[in-house]
Amino acid sequence: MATILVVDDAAFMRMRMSKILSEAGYEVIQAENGLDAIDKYRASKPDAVLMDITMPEMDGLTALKEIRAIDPAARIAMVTALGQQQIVLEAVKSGAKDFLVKPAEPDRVLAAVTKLCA
Amino acid sequence: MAMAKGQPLHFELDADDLKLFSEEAAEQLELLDSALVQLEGEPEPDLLQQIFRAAHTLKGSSATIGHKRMASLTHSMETVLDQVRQGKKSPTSEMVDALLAGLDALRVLTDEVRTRVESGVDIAPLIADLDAVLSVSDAPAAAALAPAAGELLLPGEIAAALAVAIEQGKSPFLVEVAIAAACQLPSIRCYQLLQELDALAEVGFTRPDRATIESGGAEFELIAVVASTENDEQLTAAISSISDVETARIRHLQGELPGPIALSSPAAAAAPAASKGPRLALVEDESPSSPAAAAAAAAPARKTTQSVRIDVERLDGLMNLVGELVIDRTRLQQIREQLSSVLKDANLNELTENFEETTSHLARVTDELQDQIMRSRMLPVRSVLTRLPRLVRDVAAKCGKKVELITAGEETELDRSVIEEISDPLVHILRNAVDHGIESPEERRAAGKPETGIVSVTAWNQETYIYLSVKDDGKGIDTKALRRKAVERGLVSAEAAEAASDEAALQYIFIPGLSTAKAISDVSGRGVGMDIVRTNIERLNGQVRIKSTYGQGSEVTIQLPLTLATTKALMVTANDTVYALPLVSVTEALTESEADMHLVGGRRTLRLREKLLPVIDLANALGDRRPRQLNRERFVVAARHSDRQVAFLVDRLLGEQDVVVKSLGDLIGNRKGLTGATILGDGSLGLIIDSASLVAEQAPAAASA
Repeated sequence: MATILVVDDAAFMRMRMSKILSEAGYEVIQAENGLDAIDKYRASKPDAVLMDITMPEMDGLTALKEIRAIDPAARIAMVTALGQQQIVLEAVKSGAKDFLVKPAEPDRVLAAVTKLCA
Repeated sequence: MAMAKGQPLHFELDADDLKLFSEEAAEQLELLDSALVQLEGEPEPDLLQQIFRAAHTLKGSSATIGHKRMASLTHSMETVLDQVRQGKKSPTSEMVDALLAGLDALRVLTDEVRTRVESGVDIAPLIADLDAVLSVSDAPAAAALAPAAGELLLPGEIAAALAVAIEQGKSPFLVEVAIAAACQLPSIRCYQLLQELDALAEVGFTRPDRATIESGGAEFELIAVVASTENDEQLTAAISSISDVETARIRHLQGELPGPIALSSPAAAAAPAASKGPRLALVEDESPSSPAAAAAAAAPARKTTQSVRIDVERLDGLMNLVGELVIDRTRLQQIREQLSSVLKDANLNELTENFEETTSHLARVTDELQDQIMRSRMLPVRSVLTRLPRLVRDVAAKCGKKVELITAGEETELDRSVIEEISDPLVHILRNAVDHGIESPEERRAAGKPETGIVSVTAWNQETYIYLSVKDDGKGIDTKALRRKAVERGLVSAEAAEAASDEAALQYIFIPGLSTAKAISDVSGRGVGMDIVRTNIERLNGQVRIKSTYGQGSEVTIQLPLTLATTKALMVTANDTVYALPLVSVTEALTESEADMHLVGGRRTLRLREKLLPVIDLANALGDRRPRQLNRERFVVAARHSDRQVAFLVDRLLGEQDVVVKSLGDLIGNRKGLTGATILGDGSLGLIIDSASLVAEQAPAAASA
């Protein structure tokens, strides 16, 4: 089964996402900021990444660009709150494959992950 | 478009959807109604945005249910509005007329969804008028991009570029994508689609254009004309890889270039339901990104509150339950009193204290609950007032008058049930004000008034009533003419008319069969006069008053209870039955011995403040013929409706109380003199008096001493 990297500084959001994904049979790795995400991505080459945008240390947009520089085939979906349309657009221009708007329904999370891994 | 009046229609929606569709459509139509007339001149960006959004929402929802004619018409209206919004057109009165004509048709088309019968409305000439407004274009680019409904015409240079690509061996495709209504950032999906198309094809044309998509202004549809070496299956696969794509239609264009290109259907041209409540609320949270959205946000935005739609029936159900609770509360309080008197001496202090505390807490909670539920049934009166500017515009135009309408107090809230009832009387009074009150511009000039008359409609709350006043600065009511007419028609004796004060004579306007208009005009209708207005208002336990100064104008004020679900009443008994007399009509209560009673012409009469009031035995008047004992002192309750007064003779006064109104219908059907029943604290039944009809029946009009 595919491995998903969940990146979010909020422990609750990481837990929720992880729960949704692991219940559907995915292997889940967690990271709590952009820098952490880059390390974890290098270490375990996940099949897909769910990346929060607003985070301390390194934000999601920067992390997206860094990871895409390491692995141009990286499949990353941004996880956004409302009011960040311009950032999401920039993320899509920078190679994000999809986005989820928080709070995301489990169905939407799984649909997005399925598409990412396809 | 072929018309088939009377044909059954089919729409894709069930009963619940229908309700939502109708309610929402009504809201949008109302918004358009009040906003379109303000469009002429220099419209505010905020207003434009609102109008555009309303048209867009209607287009989306009508397309979703498969109402093609409605979708086509709203599409054309939206196209016109979009041009105005983008500053490519300025609104002319022809444009506003065309839009208003469209709006009228939309009402009928909306109604078709309910009736499911083809109304015979022909949208073709309306669309032609809307197109004509656009075709007087001064900007050629705008004309090229403004398509007829369901058609796409490519600008010349794009068509040329496509022709080159085709010569290079690529095939032209029309791509139409609808994005799911659940998607919260549709513009980004459009951008992703564009990315996919760019990778596989030469993208010649997109609607919306790239700049709009990149600035976040795209919505739930993307239309593109591309040239590609791939086939339609590969294009479809690429598009389907994007999340939230609801439908993707890809059609190989053969011999249709340079155009016009037929779009697959109005449904595809329209955005799918941009109508889901929660999504709308979320969208408004988004940071403004397009210049238009920024302008809209900069302008003082109308307060948007989180709300849910609740079926009135469900609220009524809750209200009924609360009514039951109120009864239990009263009953518990009575038991408490009995208990504490019985147990006073026994050593049960703590128990009774506990019990008292609990009952009084229950009382507080019930009151609060009742209040909250009442509030949840309240709506701002705005929904009624917003329809008025259009009405005034139309009526004024018909009778060649200049009228400015001023409304105030739109925020005033009142119960849904009252809102439904208030509209007709208000409209009638307003028509009268414009048609009969305001003079023609020439007459006004001659009278030294400005040519434009002013009619103001004001709503406000006071205590548990709502007041609505319609005031005009027109010619006022000629009480001399009113007196003459009332005598001519045999409605009032010549002596009475002579003796009546101006104020009393003014009340003649409410007598059935009297119309002061010199001619029955098309505007005010026939036969429906102020008497009907008064009857309707009084049926709701309301009152209507008129003031007028000849030459200076008139003011009609409607007073209504905030809700019809409960009413404040004076509780009385007559022959061992409890009755509730609505307080709105009660003016005074006295004991029989202190009342100044006389026999006039064989009838018992009460002299009260220079007036003679017929005295009515309440039980008799309501047909209670049971034997009775009358050995104790009784009470007289004076009640008035407008200028008519009577005195009811009752056995006992029990005090004032809020009563929950229950319909008599299911139990005994409608009874003369009663409007409903209520359950009393001890569980027995009290009857609510229809004092308006009793007063009208028992008292001659304008009886004065």
